[in-house]
Order: sequence, then C-alpha cells, then structure tokens
Amino acid sequence: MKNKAGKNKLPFILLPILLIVIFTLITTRASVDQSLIVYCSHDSIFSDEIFKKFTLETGIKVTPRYDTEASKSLGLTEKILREGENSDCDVYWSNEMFSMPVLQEHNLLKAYKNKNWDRIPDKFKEENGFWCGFGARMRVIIFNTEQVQKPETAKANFSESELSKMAIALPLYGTTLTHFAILQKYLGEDKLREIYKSWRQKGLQIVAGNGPSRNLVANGNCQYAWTDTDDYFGAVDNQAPVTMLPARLPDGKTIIIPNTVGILKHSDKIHAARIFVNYLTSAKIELAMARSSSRQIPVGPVDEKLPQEVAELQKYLDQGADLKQTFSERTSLLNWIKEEHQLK
Amino acid sequence: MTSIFLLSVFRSLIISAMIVLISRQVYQSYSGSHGKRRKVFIFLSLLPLITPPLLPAYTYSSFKINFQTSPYLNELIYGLITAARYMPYTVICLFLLNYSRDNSAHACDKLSPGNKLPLIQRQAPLLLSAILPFLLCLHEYEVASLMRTKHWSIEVFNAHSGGLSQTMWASLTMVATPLTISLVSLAFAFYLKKFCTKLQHTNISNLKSPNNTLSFGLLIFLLSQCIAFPLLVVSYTGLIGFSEVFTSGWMLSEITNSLSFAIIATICTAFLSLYFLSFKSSAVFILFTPGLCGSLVLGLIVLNFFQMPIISGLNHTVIPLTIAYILYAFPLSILLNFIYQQKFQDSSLKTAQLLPQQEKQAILWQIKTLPFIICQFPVFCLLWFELTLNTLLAPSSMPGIFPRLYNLMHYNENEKLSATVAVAVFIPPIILALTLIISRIGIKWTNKFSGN
Repeated sequence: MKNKAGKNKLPFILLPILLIVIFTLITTRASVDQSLIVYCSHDSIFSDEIFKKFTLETGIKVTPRYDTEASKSLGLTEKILREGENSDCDVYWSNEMFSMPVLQEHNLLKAYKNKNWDRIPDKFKEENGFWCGFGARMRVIIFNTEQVQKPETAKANFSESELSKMAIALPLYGTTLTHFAILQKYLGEDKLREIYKSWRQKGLQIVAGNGPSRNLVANGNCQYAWTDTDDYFGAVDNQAPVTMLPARLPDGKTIIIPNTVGILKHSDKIHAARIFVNYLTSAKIELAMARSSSRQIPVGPVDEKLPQEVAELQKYLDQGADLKQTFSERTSLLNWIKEEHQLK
Repeated sequence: MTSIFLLSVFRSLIISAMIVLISRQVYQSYSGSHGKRRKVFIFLSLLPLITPPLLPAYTYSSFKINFQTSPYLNELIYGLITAARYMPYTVICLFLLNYSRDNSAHACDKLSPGNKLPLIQRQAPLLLSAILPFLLCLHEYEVASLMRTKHWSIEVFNAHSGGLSQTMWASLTMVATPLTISLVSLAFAFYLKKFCTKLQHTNISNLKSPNNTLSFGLLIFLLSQCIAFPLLVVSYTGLIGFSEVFTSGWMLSEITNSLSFAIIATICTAFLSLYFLSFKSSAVFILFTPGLCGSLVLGLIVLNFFQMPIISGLNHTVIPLTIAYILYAFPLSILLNFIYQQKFQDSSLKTAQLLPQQEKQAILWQIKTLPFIICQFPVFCLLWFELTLNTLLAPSSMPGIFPRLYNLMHYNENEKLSATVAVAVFIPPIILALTLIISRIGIKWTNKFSGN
C-alpha cells in the first residue's frame, strides 16, 4: 500500500491495529472472572461500602458500573436498553423507580421474589417480583431560612405571579420526572401542561438537576425549590441556612421514591445475583443507608433505632402515593415536556 | 432548537476570535523571548490543557452566582473558561505553523509579493488556527451543561431522554447541521493550507514587536480564573483527602484504565492521521464525520454498531471505547498533524540531513520529534479528560477515573475531590515528560547504534 509519493505507509495502519489487538488480548484475559456485574445509579460514595461488605460476607466479588451526574439517567438504562440481551449487566440497582418498568416492558428482567419480599410494602415492589424497592428518598420543598421566615405559609407562593425565586430540575430525568408523572396522574395532562406553562411564564428557574436547584436555595439565589431529601441533607451538612417541608400532592399524599433492584434476564450468574438482591433488600442494608449521609428512609421495618432525622421522615412513608400507577404516564409526559422545551 | 444552534455558532465564533487574538499575542512573546522567559511562556500557555474541564465550572457554580438569572454573567464566565481551556490548542497550532513575527521579517514582508495577496490569504495561518477552537467550542458539552449555558449539544442530550424512542437515524438528524458546519470549516482549513506553505517564509501581517507585559498579563488573567482560583477552592480542605483516596483501592486501577485507553488511542490516532494525510485525498473528510457528531451521539452510534450479531462478541472488550476515542479525536489529530506536516516539510529538515550524524540527530529531535510529540499532547489531554464516551463504552471491569471525579463534584466531597483533581492534573505532564525522555534516549541509542 503506497501513497502518491510512493512511500510505503502500511506500518502506519498496521501498528494501530496491532496495538488494539494486544490491548484487547491483555485486558480480556485480565477481566475474565466470575464477578457479579452490578449497574448502579445510586451514588458511588455510598454504594462502594455496601459492595465491599457484601464481598466480605459472601465471598462474591462485585464489579460495579456507576452512572454519572453528567449522563443523568440516560447512561445506564440507555446502555442496557440498547445492548438488550448482549448487556453484561447481571443486576441493576437504580436510585429511582422509573427505569425498572421500562426494562420490564422490554422483557429484560427476570422475576425473583427475594427473601425480604414480605417486609417490603406492596407499593414499593412489582407484584410478580420483576423488581423490588428499598431505601427511599422523599420529594421535598427546600427553603432558605434567611429569606423565608415561615415555610408553612410560603409554600402557597407557587401560585404567585412571580416565580423567579423558585427552582426545579428539568423534568426530563430522575425523581423530578417521577414527581411530574404523579402530578399528571392527579391533574391530567392538559391541566399540568397549563400549570407548567404558567410557571415558566412567571420566571420559574429550571436547572440541570436536583443538586443545582438545592444549591440555588442554599446559596440564597432562590427562596425555595423542589429537591430530594438526600440533596437537602447535603445542604444541611454544609451548614447552609435551609429547612424543608414534604412536597405534597393535591390530596395531601407525599412522594416517596425508593431505590429499586432487578435481575437481568440474560444473566448467567443468577445464583449470585439472587444472593445480592437478598442482601440489598435486607433490613441491615436499609439501616446502613439510613445511617449514611444521604439518610435514605427504610421502606420496611428495621430492628435497630434509626437516626433522629430519618425517624422523623419515616412518618411520611404511610402517606406516600402509589407511584406504580404513574408508569403509564411516562411516555406522554416525556413527549409534551420535550415539545414544551422544543427538543423534538 | 434552531435559535439555540445559531447562538452556539455565534458564541463559538466570538470565543474563537478572542482565543486567536490572545494566542497570537502570547505566541509572539514566546517566539520573541529566550531562555527562562520562553519556558515560562510555554508553560503558562499550555497549563489549561491539564485542567479537568469541569473544574472551573464546578467552582463558579458553587458560588453565589446565579447563572440562571444572570445570562450575561453566565455568558461572560463561560466564554472566559472556554477561551482559557482552548487557548493552548491555538498556541500549539501557531507553534506548528512557525508563526513568527520579528521586525526583519516585517521589513521583508513589505518587499515581498506576498503582501499583495488578499487578506484571507495573508491571514491564512491565523484563520487556520481559529478553526480548531471554533470546532472545539461548537462541540463543547460538559461545561455548558454544568453552567446551564444555552448550547445545541445540551438540547441534543435532553432530546435523548426517555430511551428507545430515539432511533439512530433521529440522533444523526439532530446533529446534521452542526456536522455540516464542522465539515465545511475543515474543508476551509484544508483550502488555507496552500497559503500557509506559500507564506511560511514571509511575514504575513503588520505587527509590532511583542509586548511581553501584555502577554503575561493576559495569561495570568485567564489562568487565574480558569485554573488557580478553582484549584484553590477545591484544595482549601488541604491534603486531608489524600490518605483516604490513596488507600481506597479504586484510585490506582481507575487511573491505569483511563491512562491505557488515552495512550493507546492517542498513538493509534497519530499513526492513522499520518497515514490518511499521506494520501492527500479529500476522502479523508469522511473520517471526520463521527468525531464531529459530539461525544454523546458518537457513543450511541458505537454502542449500536457493536450490537450487530457478527461483532457483538466484542461488545464488552476494550475495542468499542478505543475505536470511539480514535474517531472522537480524529478531527483534532488530523488538523494538528496536518499543521505539523507543514513544518515537517520545511527545508530546514533537508538542511539538517547534511549535518554530521551527532548534530543531525540533535537538530532533528528539536525540529521534528519534539513538535511531533507536542502535536499529539492535546489529543492525549482531550481523551484523558473524556467523560461521556467513557461512561457509555468502557468495559464494566475497566471503569475510568473521571466518572468518579464528577460524582465527587456532585456530592461536594471536596477532600477526596481535591486529591483526585491533583492526581488528574499531574498525569498529563508526567506522561509528556516521560515521552520526551524516552524519545530522547531512543534517539541517542539509535545514534550510538548507527555510529558503531
């Protein structure tokens, strides 16, 4: 193979091919083991510890694959969906509820009623065992206490004429998408569209995620915002002047969003996957998650005493709406939000 | 989406113009100085290459700056961060184009027929250097996303939410316009090539002696807001995080993984660029297409491609990410190697061939090997800091360091973050230094061998 100058340039193309082949051979040899591959959208700072303890206690090695804030919920769910049965994922640990029914719709999950099945309330698990919830977060309204003296009355501000001091995350992803889905279930598509339009016209600040909306309030740029309890506690730990109230639905119910776990249908490590799911849904892990800095709320009963802040949140569990009814809203919701933001 | 796209193009043009003006000033000071001063200029102008792109954005978004309600402030800070980030690429372009402006050359220029050339031809090196930052700004995603700057790449990302509703064709349709603009820009770069060669030994513009104080001031201003200030903010927690990070177990393996992919892909891209450039065919443009789709769309294309039954077995190997990295870096690599070749074909190389063996090797190292390595360094940095492709395509057993870094940012884990950032920042210069040392030793050994 010669170029116009007549020089032999074959080595320029052979060397890269050779390099890639050697790289593949070395890494393939190194990665062939029997570790359980867990796709995990729960934050690595908290889940790393759980994986380590699981390996110590069971001897089963776990290879986690994490999502990033930058790729939002697109990363792992999208990867599993696109790869289908070729995916190397054995277990999917999602930090919200909406990914699981999508995978279930595509026939990618395997039903398994884990050992802790009975301790998890029905509204946090799929009836046939395709997925199961544990350790939850709650949707809250976070307030800046230097700007809002009485949060109980301030929540009425959502109907005010000017909303530039209120923030929410773009409702295309994560728990804000779930929040909008349940609102759509309650209010109907037309009404919610109308409300969202009016909020935007009043200057509502729509930011990249729950973290940024929390930051706007913690920094004093906004008076209040929708976020999750774990983000709220992040601000509390940084000594920000904040307080919170549960975000409530028109009938007074709260929005409790659990972590969810499901086994992938094509996994060839079903036995190890089941052991892991049993471990993750146990009272011990729910307790560990409650004691972590993200203060997840156990959805099932736990034997030991919970931290004060989590114990206070637990009283909202019974008031939580059944989010499973909202799954059907997802597609139409995504479509109109994309339309609203001219993303189609 | 159209208005946001036009805004992105307009912003990219403004920022790239700003970058070229600053880089020209800095490069003139660099080429007009000697010894320590010269080293200081080159060190300062290349410093942004080794800064994690999200770090400045993360720092500013942590402060009481409301980017959402201050769109002009947002644009200003985003512009400055982006200008500082992409300035080194332009300085390297000018270095590779040997863009020198001394007074004698200026006098020669007045006598030279080149002076009568149209403006576009006289300013070809500057225009060529502006195309690179323009393309980089146009395809930027992560910083814009964190700062909520209106950018077409974020709109494309958001349009993908919801999973399978987006087919591959829909993804490609979304990037059709930016892709076309990028390809046209690159075609223009190739068109400018002949003028650069023609003007290489003549002066190309009427410029005065370099103002070193101005250059130094510009560099310090950009670097302080892009590197020093963010580093100071994340490292205020001191060195507490180091022990925790180094004993955590993930650090070493994740750095090795990121490093392996970046090094292998950089070497492959360099060789493939030289291979395709040697054909001097316009068909090379086809190879730019995937890289100019942006990291998200490229990642999804590669992910889909490796689902084909015949090659699905390779899906969980290192091949998809390595190929994606090569395709992603290809436009930058081709452009840099193309500019490098202008220097490579310089008559000084032919003159060096006439020197005795010992001197010839030293001169060749200076005028051939060193520029070649410097030319590959930005490609390495681009791949080292890449996040989206890594998240989508890295094998589960080989996670990279940057998804971890960005999680630390999200959860304000500043102690661990400062330690991880410090490591991330020091890796590229260490790799560059090692490459230079190894190549120098290699040449000496070759010299010794051929001398015997």
